[in-house]
Amino acid sequence: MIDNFKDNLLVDRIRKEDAEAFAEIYDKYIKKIYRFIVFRVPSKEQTEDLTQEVFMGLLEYIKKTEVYVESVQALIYKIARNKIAGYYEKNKQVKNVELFQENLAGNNLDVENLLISTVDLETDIDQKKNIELIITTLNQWDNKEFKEILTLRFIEQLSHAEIASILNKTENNIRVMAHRALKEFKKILDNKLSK
Amino acid sequence: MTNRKLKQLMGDVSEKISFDEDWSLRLKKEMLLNLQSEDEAKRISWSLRWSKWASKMTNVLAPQQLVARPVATFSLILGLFVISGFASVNASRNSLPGDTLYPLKLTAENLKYSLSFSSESKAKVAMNRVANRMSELKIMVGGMSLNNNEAKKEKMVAAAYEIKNNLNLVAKKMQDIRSEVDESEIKTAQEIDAKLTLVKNDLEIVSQNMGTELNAEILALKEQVEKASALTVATINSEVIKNEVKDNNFTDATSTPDATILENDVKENPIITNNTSSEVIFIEDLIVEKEAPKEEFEVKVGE
Repeated sequence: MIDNFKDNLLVDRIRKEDAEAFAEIYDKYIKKIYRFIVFRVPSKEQTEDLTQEVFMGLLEYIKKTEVYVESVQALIYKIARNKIAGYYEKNKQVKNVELFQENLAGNNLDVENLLISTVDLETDIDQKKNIELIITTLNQWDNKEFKEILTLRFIEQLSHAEIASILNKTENNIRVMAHRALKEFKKILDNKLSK
Repeated sequence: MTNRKLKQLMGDVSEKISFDEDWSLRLKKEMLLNLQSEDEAKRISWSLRWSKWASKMTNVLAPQQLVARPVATFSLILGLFVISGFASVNASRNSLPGDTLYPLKLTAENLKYSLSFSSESKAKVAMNRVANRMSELKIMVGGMSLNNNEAKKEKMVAAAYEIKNNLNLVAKKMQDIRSEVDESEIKTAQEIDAKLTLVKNDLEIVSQNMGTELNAEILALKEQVEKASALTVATINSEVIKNEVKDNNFTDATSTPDATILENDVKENPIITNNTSSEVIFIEDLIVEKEAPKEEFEVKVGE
């Protein structure tokens, strides 16, 4: 609530040509949006491009409309979802569909590169392996809706209400879907671990 | 793997995802720079637009050349006069004798008459003045008794006088255009004829409402309307006769059309030709030498 209020003040300041206000919003959401996108597109470069587009879209929306922004967080995630959808829409026309699908499936995703290098290999080797497995599985998972909810709920640690406002669904709906998504994801992971 | 452990691991993922801080800083810098330059450009464009407009207005209101300055001031004052003049004239349209704006209405009408140069347009304007006065007269009559309202009666007499004068003007102008009448003049004559018919009807209404009051004035007006009407009809007929002459010339070249027509014309419409001395006198009787009064008639009545 207070967070929304603070964000609204920042939006007002951006509308009054205050660049510092935009800088504050940028700092607050850049990592979240980056992480939201990184599991949905095949490469780091594309993640960076889309992240940039999301912030440009946000700025454009704030400056061109006078609409009251109830939640900047919901707005920015919605823009990110639209950009991702636009990205896939655009790439439908790629001639080498198979190659693209390969990329999409995450075969080319450099998980090693994706993780920060400060992980202590000696002590956290299991954890690192598990995280790598989670990222790879998540990236290859074709259930887009569940993937989205899992990312928002368990990686971004957003509340059910926040996710509901981003996905335009009810809170209860999100609660049920998150539970099912986790269950299904765990099943896939267990299958992989047992192999 | 338990649900709890999975949730915990997924929570850790967010911390373990590498993030290029340099790229993030670069992007931020770039976006802020764009934002600032955009704002700056907007500010510059607005200030430029504003300064251009201001300099244009300054130049119009107070031109730099000293010679142009009085011209600009004069034009500005003239413009204001014209605008306020139009507004006042418009407002005076429905005024009645005795109203504050009534003299303005008369002045506007007189000005219109003075600014029309051909007999046709003068006849039109005079006819409009007749119609205006007639409508004023009708409003003033409005079923009220004049016994206790001498001032009102005076105004009505003045209106009647005004109508008479203007009817004379209409008749005179009709006579002027009769000799060489063209299509547009015929049209005007027809319009005037229609308006005269309305005036006749209005006069009937007024005389019925007034009873014996203003009897003499109304009778005189009726006579005047008849004369103006006769001349208007004659003007319209003269064109018909001309056409007939043309037709006769075309069909029978051996006859003497001019003489025949002239003779028939004189017999049927004694007013339409002024070849005989008696008719000349009759038409000249219609003409009042004095044209429309320039002042409000209320003053004239007093005189």
